[in-house]
Amino acid sequence: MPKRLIIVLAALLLSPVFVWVYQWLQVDKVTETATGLYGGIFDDVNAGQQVVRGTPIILPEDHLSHNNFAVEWWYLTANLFDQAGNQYPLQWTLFRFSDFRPKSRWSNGQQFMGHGKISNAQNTWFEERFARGAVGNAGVKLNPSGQFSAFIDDWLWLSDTEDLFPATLSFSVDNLVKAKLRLNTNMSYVSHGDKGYSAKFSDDSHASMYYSQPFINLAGTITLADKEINVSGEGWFDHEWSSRLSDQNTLGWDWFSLHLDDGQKLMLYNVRHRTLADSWFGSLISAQGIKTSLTAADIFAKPTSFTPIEGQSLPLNWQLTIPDHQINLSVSMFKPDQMNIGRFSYYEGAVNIKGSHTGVGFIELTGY
Amino acid sequence: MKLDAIWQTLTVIFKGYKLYPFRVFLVALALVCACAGLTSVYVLNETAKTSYANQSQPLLNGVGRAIIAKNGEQISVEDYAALRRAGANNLVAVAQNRLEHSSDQIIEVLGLDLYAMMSLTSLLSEPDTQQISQLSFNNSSRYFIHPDHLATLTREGVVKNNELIIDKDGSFPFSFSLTPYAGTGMGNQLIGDIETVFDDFPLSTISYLLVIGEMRIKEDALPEHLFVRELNTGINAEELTESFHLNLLAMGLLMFVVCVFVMMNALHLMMMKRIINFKILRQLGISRLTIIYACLIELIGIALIASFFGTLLGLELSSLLSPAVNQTLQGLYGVYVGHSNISLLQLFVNALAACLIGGLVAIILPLRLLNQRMAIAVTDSPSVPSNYLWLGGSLVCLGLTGLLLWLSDGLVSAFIMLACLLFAGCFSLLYLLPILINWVSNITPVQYPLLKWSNSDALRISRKSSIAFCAFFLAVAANIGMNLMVNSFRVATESWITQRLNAEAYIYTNQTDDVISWLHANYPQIDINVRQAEQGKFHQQSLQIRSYPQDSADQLAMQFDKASQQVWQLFAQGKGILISQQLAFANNLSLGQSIQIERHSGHKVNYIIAGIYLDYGNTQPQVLLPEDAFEKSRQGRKILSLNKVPGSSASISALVSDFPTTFEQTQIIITEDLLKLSMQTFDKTFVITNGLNFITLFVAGFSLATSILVIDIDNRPQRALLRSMGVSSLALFKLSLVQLTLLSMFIMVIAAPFGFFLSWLLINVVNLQAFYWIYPLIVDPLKLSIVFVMSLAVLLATTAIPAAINAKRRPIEDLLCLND
Repeated sequence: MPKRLIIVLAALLLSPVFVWVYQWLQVDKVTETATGLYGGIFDDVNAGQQVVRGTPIILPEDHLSHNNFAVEWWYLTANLFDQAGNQYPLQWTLFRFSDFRPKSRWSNGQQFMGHGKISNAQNTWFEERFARGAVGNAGVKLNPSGQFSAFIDDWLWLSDTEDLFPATLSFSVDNLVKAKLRLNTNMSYVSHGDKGYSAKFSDDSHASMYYSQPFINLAGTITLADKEINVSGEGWFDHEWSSRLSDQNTLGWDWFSLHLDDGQKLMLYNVRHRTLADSWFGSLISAQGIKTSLTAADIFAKPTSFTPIEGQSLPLNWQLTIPDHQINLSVSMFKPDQMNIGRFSYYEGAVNIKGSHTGVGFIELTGY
Repeated sequence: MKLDAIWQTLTVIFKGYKLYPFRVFLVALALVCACAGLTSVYVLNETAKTSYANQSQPLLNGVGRAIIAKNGEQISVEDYAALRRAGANNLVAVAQNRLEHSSDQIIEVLGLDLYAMMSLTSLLSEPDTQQISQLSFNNSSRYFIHPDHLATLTREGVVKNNELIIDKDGSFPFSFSLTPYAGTGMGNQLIGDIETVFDDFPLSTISYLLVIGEMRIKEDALPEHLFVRELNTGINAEELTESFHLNLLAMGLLMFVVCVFVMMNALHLMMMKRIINFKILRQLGISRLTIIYACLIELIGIALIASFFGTLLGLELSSLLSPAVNQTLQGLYGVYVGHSNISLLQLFVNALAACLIGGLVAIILPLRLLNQRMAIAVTDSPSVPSNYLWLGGSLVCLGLTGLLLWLSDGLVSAFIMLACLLFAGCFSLLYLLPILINWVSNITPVQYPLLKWSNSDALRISRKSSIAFCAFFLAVAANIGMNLMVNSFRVATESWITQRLNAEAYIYTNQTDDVISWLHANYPQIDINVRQAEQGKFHQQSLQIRSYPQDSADQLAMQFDKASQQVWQLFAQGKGILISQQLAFANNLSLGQSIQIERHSGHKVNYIIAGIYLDYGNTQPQVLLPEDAFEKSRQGRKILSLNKVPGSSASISALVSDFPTTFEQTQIIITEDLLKLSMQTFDKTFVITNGLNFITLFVAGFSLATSILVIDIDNRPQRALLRSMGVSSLALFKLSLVQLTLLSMFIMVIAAPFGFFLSWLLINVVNLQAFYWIYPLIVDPLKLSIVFVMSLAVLLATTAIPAAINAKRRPIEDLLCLND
């Protein structure tokens, strides 16, 4: 029976495939990690002190760490340009998490995560770092000279005084790209929401303390392949802390920090939830630093296109309208490739603005 | 050619399996063993080589250096933080601890700074990153353990249900929750987060800082008490361990060759059984080529199945052996090797390729005979080559061995030489065995007709089963050779180490000054000798420089290979130097020659070689200098030898029991225990060789026994005749055993001189080339008897049961065969 012979021969020849299948079945299944909002890290942050409406933000004390709160971040984004007009978007963030572990030689109950990113038109360099608070290689504190410092390993934000600005920021990404920048401002900080109490939903179920400095001038150098590039531009700094930022049903958020050409600054925030309606809110800050809070009724925002990035379909381009303030913006990505791929992956991308105003800024998209 | 004709032939072959299942089983078994041996050796070697190439450490690759603290100093958490803040963010702090289980198992526990590793995700594999983040962020007191190591500890009863219970400090039980995970470079340790390890081991300190990739800060920017040490990884590790891996490969190949012989024999027997069916097929019009193709397809099928099972068996074998191999590599060469992560598919493909090549080699001769038999009408016994041909072959191979011995200058040619010797042995066997059987048959008195018949019948068996005899011969010769070599090495090492360790106890410490102060304060009647050590250079190569005391006891303790008459005078004057045998052989150095060595300080000094001493087990070249040639405060003072001041009442055992446990990384050990420990380590080193040797012997013995039994079936008419003449079945059974014993005795007698020669070559050529040390060959009759008895036992044990079953057969069953 030739057919049988062919079957036998085919079976013999296919035996490596069987081996492969066997091997595949033997492979240890890697435990799946949560992939939701920031990899699920904020899902269980209700332990810790809760933010209370009416609590004032007191500076410079509140620039420092709030260790009793579950999560906190110092978040800088900057739209930098060289003298030829080439863009070099930059992000530097220090996250702090309370793990409420018992204190030991290696643990003071605090963990730090640093994100550093520098891009140009061709490449994006991103690095993620982790550290324990007790070791001494990461923290946010006043140094012995009374200067504000935020650091993780050799990444350092060192202010001249106890205030955040003026300051020098120096960090490198994967030991390949280095940035050394001076940060200056002559404007006041902006407290979002109700004097810094930023409710993420109208029922106050999720809230944080949140203030920004959107008027930062940056200037310095980016060293790329031993070549120093002089850059300058505008930056936006956020400091936010909370123990009730999200829950298991929080899907993620879309965040915009935009520098408009007339000097206005626009912050928009949309929290997406599995059971609640999308919650849009924001702040429009005049060139003089006067803030107007925006609610969902004021904001008309919709994605104009979705782009597949790392297996996710992301709304990289948006149409944003705030009719009461004659703002109608088309926001598009500087380039699609701006995903932060790390333990907690999210999209943090520089954008260009057209429409009623021109300008630059950043979008953060999480939980997609 | 028609496919249906091949199919029909295959059908006939498959249906014939039930008539001779044993022969088919033997072919498959030989292939499975060949594959298993090769696979296990391949896995062990490849794992080690991958480890070296990747510069592996547990869960990390690319680690070529570590930062460690100088003697008596520690790396503090503050040091670590400061280094990271200075830009060395590619450091990973490691805390090393050891657990002693009540079963005497020592379990190494490594605490790694998983947060630092999480910051290096571009250097970690995706699964490792996932697992590390789970372990670090979940803050569970868990430890990773490699599944192979977990299986070993579970088998040994140390771990139950993934829980390791330790009666820590004898005061309270302590549980370690283990998570099996086959991570990059993981070996026989428990891996946990450093925070967990510090919690679980309150006396933990940072043992060292691993440098991942290049140093990111300059070495001179390190704090005064820290320094960088190069690890034995990468090319360095590969060079250091090359001979070890070559030896392992040679053992695997020997096993493979023996199995090919076994398979050839089994195939030959199988073909002989099929010849009648094949002749019928020929009469039905099936071509010879079709039958040969069918046989080849059958072989491919058997090879596929055997290689699959052989691969699995080989993997199992390698996981059983890897702890011993890793321990040996770490102990002998100071290189780190993790468990294997080799793909099963790749192993299977390799094993299949080896099986097919081996199978094809093995089937050539049986197919040739089959082809001849199918072509001619009468199926007489195949023509047996003249005995003188075997003698000629033997002499040629011996000549080649001698030539290679004369010309040999490398390990590869040394192994070819060993192969030539073994071939010479095989040819000698084929030449001598019939002569010896004839001789025994002739001298057997006629009063014992059954014995005379049995002895004459042995000649027929030896002709029909010459390949199986060769396989068994190879196994026995290799066993004798390896056993004598290992035993000689053991005797030499034991004698050398016993003589050399002349102190009553030794202390190994990083806190030399503190320990000495304590000893002076508490045991003033103990004489302390500090052994100095430093790393120097000879011809730009790394060189161990050690101090050696000169009093008469120490002079007596030194075992020289060669020494000048004024050795100790020259040594005391600081003009003479003692060099190790390794250094002498590797650089062709001889007594009286002047050499220049570079001291640790960079200072170059000339010495006359006053003595060449034995230094077994040390793969590094070494020299000894008088104590006053060292600065007293140098860092390399880690060993103290202790003796009672003559006439004092001090007690070393009292000192050992009083010795404080507060000294860090300090161990005091009585010489007797040290000797015991050294010899235990020695024996562990040769566990693998012994294991492979025994398996080879077993397979070859099994093959020979079964081959003889199968041939015996063809002998049924003669047996029937004997039974009809009133010979009892018990008498026939006894005759079978006598016959088998006679044959195996002859093989062993012929194998013995080749085994001796093999052993001599292993010591004087392979060892010299590989390790640069030699030792005298000691032929221990007891060891030799053990090999003989073991070989005979394997043969008899395998044969006894089926022979007894044959013998129990009623006479009528034997007589019925006359009707066939």
